[in-house]
Amino acid sequence: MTRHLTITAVRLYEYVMPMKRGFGTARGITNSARNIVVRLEAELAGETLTGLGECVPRGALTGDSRDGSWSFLLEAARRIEAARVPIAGAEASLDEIRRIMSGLRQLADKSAPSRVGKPFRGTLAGIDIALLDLVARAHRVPMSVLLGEQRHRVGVSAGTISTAKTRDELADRTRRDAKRFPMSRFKGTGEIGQDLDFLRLIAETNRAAGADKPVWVDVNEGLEPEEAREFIDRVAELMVAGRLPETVIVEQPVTKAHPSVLAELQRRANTRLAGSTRKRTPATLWAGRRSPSRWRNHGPLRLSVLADESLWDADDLAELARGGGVGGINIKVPKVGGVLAALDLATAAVANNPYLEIYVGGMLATSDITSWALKNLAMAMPRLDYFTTSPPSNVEARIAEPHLRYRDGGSHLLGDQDGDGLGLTLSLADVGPFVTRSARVPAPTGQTGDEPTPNRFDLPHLDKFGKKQLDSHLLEYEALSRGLDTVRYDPLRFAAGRRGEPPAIGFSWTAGTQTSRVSTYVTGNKQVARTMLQRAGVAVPDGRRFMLDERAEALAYAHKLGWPVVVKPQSGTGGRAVTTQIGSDHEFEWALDAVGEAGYRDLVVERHVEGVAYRFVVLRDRVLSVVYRRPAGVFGDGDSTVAELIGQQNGLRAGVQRLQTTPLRINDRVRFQLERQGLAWDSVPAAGCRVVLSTAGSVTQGGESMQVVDETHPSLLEEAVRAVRGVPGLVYGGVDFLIPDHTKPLAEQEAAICEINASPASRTNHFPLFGPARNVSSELLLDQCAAHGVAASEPTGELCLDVEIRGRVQRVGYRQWMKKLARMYGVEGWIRNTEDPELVEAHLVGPAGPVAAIAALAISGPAKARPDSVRCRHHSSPESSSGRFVIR
Amino acid sequence: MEQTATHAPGTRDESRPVGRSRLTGMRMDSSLLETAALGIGWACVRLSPLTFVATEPGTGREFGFRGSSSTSTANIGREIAKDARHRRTALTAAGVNVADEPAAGGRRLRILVVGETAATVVDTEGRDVRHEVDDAVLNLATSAVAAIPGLAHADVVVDGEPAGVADIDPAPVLSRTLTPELRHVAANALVQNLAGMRDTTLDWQADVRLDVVAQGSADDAVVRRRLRRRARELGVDLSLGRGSNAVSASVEGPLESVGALPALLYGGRTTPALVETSVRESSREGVA
Repeated sequence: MTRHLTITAVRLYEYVMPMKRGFGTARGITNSARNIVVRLEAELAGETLTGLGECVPRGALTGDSRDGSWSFLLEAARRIEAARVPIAGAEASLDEIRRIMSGLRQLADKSAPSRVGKPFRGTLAGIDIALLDLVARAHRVPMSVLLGEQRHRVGVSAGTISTAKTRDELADRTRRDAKRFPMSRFKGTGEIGQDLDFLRLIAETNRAAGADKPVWVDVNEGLEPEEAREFIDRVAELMVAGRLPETVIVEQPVTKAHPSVLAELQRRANTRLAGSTRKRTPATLWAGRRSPSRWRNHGPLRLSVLADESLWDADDLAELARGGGVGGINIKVPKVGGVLAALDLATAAVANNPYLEIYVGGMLATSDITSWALKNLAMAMPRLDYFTTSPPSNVEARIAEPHLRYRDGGSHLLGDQDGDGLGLTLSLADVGPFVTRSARVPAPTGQTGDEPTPNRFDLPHLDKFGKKQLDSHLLEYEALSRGLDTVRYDPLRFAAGRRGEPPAIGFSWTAGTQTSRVSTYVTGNKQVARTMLQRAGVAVPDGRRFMLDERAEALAYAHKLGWPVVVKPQSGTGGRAVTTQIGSDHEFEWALDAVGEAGYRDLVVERHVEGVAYRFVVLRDRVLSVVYRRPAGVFGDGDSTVAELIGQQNGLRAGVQRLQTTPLRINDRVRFQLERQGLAWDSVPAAGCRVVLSTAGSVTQGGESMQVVDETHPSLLEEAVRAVRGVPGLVYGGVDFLIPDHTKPLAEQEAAICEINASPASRTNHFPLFGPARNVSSELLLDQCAAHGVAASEPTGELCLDVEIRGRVQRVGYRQWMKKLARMYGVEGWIRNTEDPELVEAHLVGPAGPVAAIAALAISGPAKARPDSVRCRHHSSPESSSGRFVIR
Repeated sequence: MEQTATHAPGTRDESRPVGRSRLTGMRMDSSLLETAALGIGWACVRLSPLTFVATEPGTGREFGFRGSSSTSTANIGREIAKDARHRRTALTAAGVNVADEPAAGGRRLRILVVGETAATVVDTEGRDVRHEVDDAVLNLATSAVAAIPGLAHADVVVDGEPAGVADIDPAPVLSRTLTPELRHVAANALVQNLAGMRDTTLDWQADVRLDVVAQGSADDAVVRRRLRRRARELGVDLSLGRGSNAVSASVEGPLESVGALPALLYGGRTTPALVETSVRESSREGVA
């Protein structure tokens, strides 16, 4: 009977690893990177096994984003928890892993923002590695054997030199490595003159050291196509003149946006070198060994163009081949979405073109988990020409053991692995100081305090909006559903008006035509706002503004006020760099540093008012909503670590997470709060114990929202209205009120208004974590309509819209993009190109929510599109009755 | 009749007392608007060198100003006007002709539209050419402002033949584009439009008495010294009052000079949190 391994738990640790020395490429200097360790726990015939992987999300390069990737990873972890993998033969196990990863790729497509193609590859790679490690351990073999080992040893082709090195440092490093590595590799700056100079310098240094070996420059998309052509020409000239070695590699000179240029550059290089009469030198000796056979007796000089960023998968490989092909490809595991995907891509590449050189590259600031995984992959590749994953010595801490090392001090060969799978153990003590988030799937089930059940909002058509964009969409949705036509200018700005007339009202985020620049200035400047509120007779805390360099004066003022005090930036938003309950000189200094580190130059010192933060949303003389914002915190269950409890809390909030909350993270501020309570990220708080993670209630700082307007005392509502009236020209605003008890009269407690906001977020009111929702967008829209004499009808549940999208919207995949979205949301209609190359027309019919969502997302479109405007007009009757959405 | 510029736009008016010449650009605009507001009897509270609030007596209505923007300049209007793509979208949707850049033929004009009228019209040399411009061109400018939601006033640049809108500045720096005489016209129009007033002419040289209260400074002694120095530079009479938590004073002199005083109190680290000013009613005779 086939044995099956069953995954019982998934633990995730997101960490930010600083580098010892910044590493420069044509893109800039990298000083740290964010990775996520995936630790799988499984059961096999009564035995517990673990598997380790590392997600390497690198933005556009891997189709990842910070919060999007984490949310996706949590969902993926829930999918693979309880997954079963047969442990009969390697092929059956690998097939099952391929099936699991295929399912996760489909999940990724559904979860990603609409503009991202092939999303979350850096995240998928970590899951794939963890699965392979786990299964290899179950088979009791190293991962390379599970994958089909092709070679026993792997050597590093070259140590890569950063752009941060000076000319002298470059020469020194080249000299040191001359006899060690088969090649010299450096990062190009994208400045042709300097890169050519460095090529020559390296070549001369190597020759002087008796190692005339190939030179390789990685330009990391740093050149424009015309510059790249010039660069290739000049490199070829130097090679023909004998000033560069017989083999030179130029890696990814242009961006992925120019798919045909790489192949064109390779053809150009071949042509420039074809007539060369340069005599080849005898095979070069280096490090006591002969250079590999592929560099001996080679025929003509060889200038190889190598594709890196341009190659994600088989589609890109085919596109490169269609253009005429390149000299080699760099298969990076996080870029292609996993070890198996890398292996499959290499197999396909070799089958298509046996002469294509294959290179396995590494990633900056990753750990030994990634390094060992890449070494195992390299040992199983059907062809391997180059490998540049060296032991990760340039990071602050090594988080897994044993460390990958060279075989000996002078060797380019990597050491052997002991143990099955990757043979690694994660060191929580070493990764701990760098952890920013952690989660456990299944979530801990212990006590979490006497908490109400969080809301869940099942609105998938809102998933693809950014947070501010969602606020703007909620207003446009109200306008469209109430019969107004709209023009959207960008994701945060639109105008609306009666059908067939120019729009009379407009919104910039949630600021309507009644919100002036002056009121925005007054509310954005905390000192001016305090002055205005005091004039209006509103209770505000005593306070004063200081420049950041007036530390002594600020501290003296804090002493004058008396502890505790609050420090916040003069013009900050979202609770950023705000520290409350400061009770000592040390904490005061820390708070000032936080203001400076957040990039602000001036700050406000205020008396601390005891109470919790409430956000009142005021429209003229009415309070539409009161949201109680509890600072971020978790309840202990006596079993889970603080980090796991944070992960659990994020899971509970997932139903509103994309709509309004911000996930809790372990950052310096949280560590500071934990330290105040004598805790650390891996402490296990007692059951029922509340652990405070922040003293600011802002939802962007992880605060929790609860709608309480119906139970708020009228005197508090009146005070909030007075505050908004105190700012000239402000009719709609958010008032941040510190109140000990919102059900008691103002006169019976010490409460104070600490901030006022001219453009308050709407989503917190529409989608509170707890309590009933309040449609503030509808109220605001109707008010603006009334102020401008625009008649709005009762809301309708169905919409039928004619949509015009102008800008760069043809030949960019726009119609396919909208078709996919429409089908996903159950919207019918059509889309077509017009004779005007800058205009696409669509007809959308269906439920009001999804139709309006597509209309709002249309201003972004697919990645290559650049829409200038989206105009929506109501259509009296639907044209489509097919129930489908088609491209005409 | 064409008015001739006595000082080129954007240059310092050397005839002004040295005190007022300290104000340039948006600071000068803000001061001019405050002076215009004081001239029609509004009480003002200055919050920064560029920002003040004016209160209409009787109704208690408050209006805010920052540079030449006011509470009638919505964020959305300003943002659409300043972004060339958004502006083109809004103007085209309203059927307003948009000029190509660079425009072919025609005459480049800068028209300050306030409400539904053109307050000033100048050419590229800064000359007042209002009476040479066809009504159709003025209507084009007012239509352009009306086409942008949330815009009550703006500088519209018209160019080309046929005339089209080349640019819209929702917060023009009046002191850079207008002569001193036209700045007064523009300031009057901007302030009075907010209150729904029309064509109330101010005598900027009429003598008035201004009450000033500066509050919230970290060091009132510094504010007192600055007040004395600025009054001396402006050539106005100053009488300092006594008070523990504020600096109060009474100033007498031409409206244009005493109106500049509040903005001149800002500068350096020790500035007041606010400066409240009002023209004593008994002294306002003959101003408006």
